[in-house]
Amino acid sequence: MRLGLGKKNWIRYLFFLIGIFLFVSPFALLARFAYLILDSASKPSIHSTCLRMTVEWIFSGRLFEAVISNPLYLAVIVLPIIAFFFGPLWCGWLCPAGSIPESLSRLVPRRAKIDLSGKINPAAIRYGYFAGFALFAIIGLGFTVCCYWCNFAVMEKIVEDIFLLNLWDLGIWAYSTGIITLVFWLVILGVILKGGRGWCNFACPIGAIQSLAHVVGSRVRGTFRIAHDESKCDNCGSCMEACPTWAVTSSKNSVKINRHVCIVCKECVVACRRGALGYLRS
Amino acid sequence: MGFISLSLGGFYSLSILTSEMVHFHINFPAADREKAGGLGPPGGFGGRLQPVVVNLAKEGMPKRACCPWIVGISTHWITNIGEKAYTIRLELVNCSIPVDWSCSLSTWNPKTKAITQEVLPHQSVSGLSLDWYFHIPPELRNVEVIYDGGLSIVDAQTGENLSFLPIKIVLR
Repeated sequence: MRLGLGKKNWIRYLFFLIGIFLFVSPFALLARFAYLILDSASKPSIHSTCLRMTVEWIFSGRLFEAVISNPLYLAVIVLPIIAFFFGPLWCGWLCPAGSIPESLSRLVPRRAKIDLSGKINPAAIRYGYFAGFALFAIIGLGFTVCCYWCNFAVMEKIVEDIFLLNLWDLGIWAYSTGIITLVFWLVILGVILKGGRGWCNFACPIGAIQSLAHVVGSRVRGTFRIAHDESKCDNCGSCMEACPTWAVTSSKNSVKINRHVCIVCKECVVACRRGALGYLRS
Repeated sequence: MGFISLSLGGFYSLSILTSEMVHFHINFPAADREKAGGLGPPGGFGGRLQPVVVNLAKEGMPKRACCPWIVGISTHWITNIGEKAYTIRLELVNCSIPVDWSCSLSTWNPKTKAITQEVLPHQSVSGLSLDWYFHIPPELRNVEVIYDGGLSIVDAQTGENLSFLPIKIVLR
């Protein structure tokens, strides 16, 4: 049985753990620290740095008001700025809602996984989703697509359940959209999908914003992105196999990187035996 | 495809809006029930103020299959619309059903159901997530009106009733 574990990007997996400890309850160390300074009675959790409501607030015009009450919401501005210069580092290295299904997916044998890479264009679906998300927020129905379908909330409940040994958390099971989100985010678009990043690829609004910033930024001199050196490439396909977001595709005896879904995770860089890929300054 | 799936998701969540994890807002002090609050965030959904009526007949299939007869309601918006600061205590009125309370605040006292930090005039309780889970007992699972009561906000210092928001759980 061959698992999806190739050469390992250990530093990245360490960042996955850091992401959980920094942002997710019961730890949420970043929010804990911020609330200590702000003298806030709120519970530190992934909602303290919410990346779905804040996107909704951009389009419904409530972001400024929210940032005044909780400066951590500025993450929705800071992350695209980072993505402009360095790529979507949040998505590739820290986001727990992406790292958990990706990590679990690597434990599933390749034969048992659904492989949609190269068959569909994730960027088109993702931007379609993002356009709908924005439209719903503008017409005042943002809550129906934001909190009801929050994979961050579901993910946090699971992490809390594991660390607090509470295996029947009503926070997930008491509403249908929570249950559906769990099944799609973790299983159908996660564990059993090649790469485990289906939810990120299709249904993450903050991921879409960062990707747009990265697409623009990667064309600017001095910014960082994954680059491919054709002269070193032997078309072995290991980079395509390693990419969790299907961003690396084959094109005319070479490879092409789709920056609309690339999360600069460097899995392709680690997988390439000939050093044809690198995370480089343009 | 992304737009279509999001739209379907949006309309599905609209269909369960009054049956699963029903969200409401409540104001105090509010002498008349018009000002006490209603369904959804302050101002109501789409600017329409509706009473808090949870209709279990409209529950979605996944919830009904995984978690039947546990009814969640929730608020993030408790607002002091008065001119002075209050410390408040909450009470579920006319409730004989077992209820789990879950609050996100460090200033929450689970024994007295009080928020120990003062709520200043014209301000909401910051960072609040307060959930109630009603465990509907078997003898109430065939009746049309399962719960007819509401949430009271009481001045924790004086015991004065500051606001009352009617809440109903029905099966029709």
